[in-house]
Parts: sequence; structure tokens; C-alpha cells
Amino acid sequence: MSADQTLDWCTQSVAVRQLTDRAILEVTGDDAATWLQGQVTNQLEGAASGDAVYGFVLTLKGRVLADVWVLAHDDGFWLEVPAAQVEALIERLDRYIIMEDVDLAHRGDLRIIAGVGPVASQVRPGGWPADRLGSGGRVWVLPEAAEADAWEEATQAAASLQGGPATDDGWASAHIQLGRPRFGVDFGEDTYPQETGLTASAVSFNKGCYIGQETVVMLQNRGKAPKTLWRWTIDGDEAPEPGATITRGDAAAGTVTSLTRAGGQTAALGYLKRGHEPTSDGPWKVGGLPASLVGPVGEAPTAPAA
Amino acid sequence: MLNLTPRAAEKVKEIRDAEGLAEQGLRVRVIGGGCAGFSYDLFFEDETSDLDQTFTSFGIPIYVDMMSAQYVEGTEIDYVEGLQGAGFKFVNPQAKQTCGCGSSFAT
Repeated sequence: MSADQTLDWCTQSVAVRQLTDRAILEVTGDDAATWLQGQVTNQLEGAASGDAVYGFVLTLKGRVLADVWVLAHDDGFWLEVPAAQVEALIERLDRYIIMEDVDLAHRGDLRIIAGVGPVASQVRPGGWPADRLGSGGRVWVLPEAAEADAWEEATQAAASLQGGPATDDGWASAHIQLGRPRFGVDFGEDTYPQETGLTASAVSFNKGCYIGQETVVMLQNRGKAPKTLWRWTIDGDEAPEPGATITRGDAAAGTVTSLTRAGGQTAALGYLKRGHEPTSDGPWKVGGLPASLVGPVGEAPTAPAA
Repeated sequence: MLNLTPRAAEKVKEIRDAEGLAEQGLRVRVIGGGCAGFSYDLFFEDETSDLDQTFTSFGIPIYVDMMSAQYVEGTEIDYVEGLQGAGFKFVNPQAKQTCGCGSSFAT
């Protein structure tokens, strides 16, 4: 199976994937909704059972501690979060439960299956809408004991819909080619929300207070982010490594975070430092190789890089 | 320990009388949220529990639950009026940082 096939499934039918790098935190209690509203960057007010909201949990200083899909259900909320951040999130979130009626727990007994693509909702019933790549999507949370059967059913259903299971490389490649940054790869605990290019889908600027909000609002209203993430293509058969320097003329302008070979060239995501926004021409190079700037990540039209 | 300034005590009594709650005390609570992490919550209440600490300032009973107490120990509550509005202001020696509007703090 090629990476290109996963991308086609993601954009034209459905790619399914077991999200082993994600985990579920559970938030329940009478104050769960109001408390959670003060913890994440996006608007949760009005979220009803079956709704899903994408957002960030920030540090006190306004940097992204984790990206999170808030999945509302009848008894509270499940938070789909990076598995590597579970411990840090529990510590960060638990610190701000004082006398509220809120219970927070890591549900290590639950597993996550995602479907990405325009027919993802036909893979299996239930679940939540979760549009990860701008082409439609769904996510299902299952007991560990039900995972094997559910995964087999999901792959069969995807195949019947002209889709299939995403490979590791294909999943990563689809994110890069569609300009969708990943937590832990393209952004993380040293990143401000505005730097990710995901504010349109992850941040509400009129919801009111949440932890880290003051920094986010100041950055939005008073200044530019220290760096911004962009999509790139690099010509030729050679591919630089993640971490390669982006240059404009002789000046170091930024750093690449992820790359993938596709269609005889390399697609990449990489940051430009403040002051190097592409308001003027290059010539751009990535790792010393001639490169072209495709556009901003996240909110741009998500067609694969040409 | 937690205290009101004379101005704050006067305002609390004024509000309490206006609301017909003359027998009630002032509940001070800390809740998770706000830009800086913790927010203050003030309301009148006539019930206390074994887990509350009770103080009296200018004749006004003040109730603080044991969890909130650790965040507001030594706090003075003032009442201020200015061009940007009026309200109770918390001078909390444990607050290392407050948000711009002053409604939340970090320790």
C-alpha cells in the first residue's frame, strides 16, 4: 500500500485508523461543563451529547500543552488527547479542580478508532464528528475488549466504501500534504496557538476566560506570533530531514518540522520566524535545496500540494 | 485569616441589606478557571459545614471552605470604584500573577 493511496482515501472515500497515540480522559460531575469551559480554548457552551469540539489545553503562559477533541456524551465528556501528554494533562487539569463537582480520570480501558474522509460516517454507527483533515471524519471510542472486532468491521466497511486502513507513513503523509499539523510533530509545548495555523478550528476569541487566554488575546490583538507554520514543496529526488533550515537568500528564516515524498517531490511543513513572512520573494531553500512556498497550514484550502 | 477593608465591609452590608439577607454570612470560594487559573467567587450564604473556616470582619461572618482557604490565606478584600467600573478587589499575598482584569490569579 502506498502513501498516496491513504491520501486518496482520506480525500475521496475513507481511511480508518486505530489511534494508538491518542488516549481518553473522562470528565464527569455536575460542574463538568462549566469547569471544562474554563480549561479549553474553543467554545463548549451549547455542546450537546454527540457533539465534538476541537481545541487546545494551554499552559498558564499560553502555550499548547495538548490538542484535544472534546467528545460530549450523556454522562459528561471524553477528551481525546495525545497519549504522551496524559500525565501532564492530569496534573495540569487536576490542579484547577478546587471545590467543583468534577471528576477527572484517565480511561486506559478505552480505545479510539478514527475515520477520515467524506464517507467516514458510513463506516459504523455512533461516534462523534471529527474532521481532522478538512475532508470529513468521525471518531469512535470503544471498550478495549471490543476493539479487535470493531477494527475488523471498520476495515471491511472502509473497503466496501473504496477506502481502507491508513498506514503510519500514509497517515503522516496525508497530514503533511493536506497542510494539517500534528501535535508532537509540528507543534507542541513550545508553541502558541497562533503559531499552529489552527486557530480557526481550535480557538474561540469571544468565549470568555480560559486558562492561558490572556496571552492568546494579547498575541491576537497586539502583535504577531514569533513564528508561523507554512506548507512547502521541495523539488528533486533528494529530501532533507526534519529540522532542516529554511533559508531566504542567505538568511536563515525557519525550520522544517515534517516531510513526505509524494508525486516525485517532497512536501513539507515548516516554520518561518517573525520578520520572514512571505511578503517578498525568495529564493527559498530547504536544507539547501530549492523550495516553493505553498501557503499557510490549517485554514488554507486543503488540496494536496501541487 | 481573611479580612475586609472598611469600604468593602460597608458595601457588603449595603448589598446584604438591600437583598434582605441580613442574617447571612459572606461565602468566599476559589474556583478553577479564568485566564490565570484560579477565580474568586463571592456570595451570601447561611449554611456552613464542618469543613469551613469561619472568620468575622466588621461584624460580617466570612465562610471559606478548606480547599479554598489554602489559596486565600491572608487575603484582604477591598471595594474599589474607578472609571472602568466598581467591584471587590482581592489583595492576595499568595497570588504570584493576576490577569489583566484582576478577576483571576495564579499561585
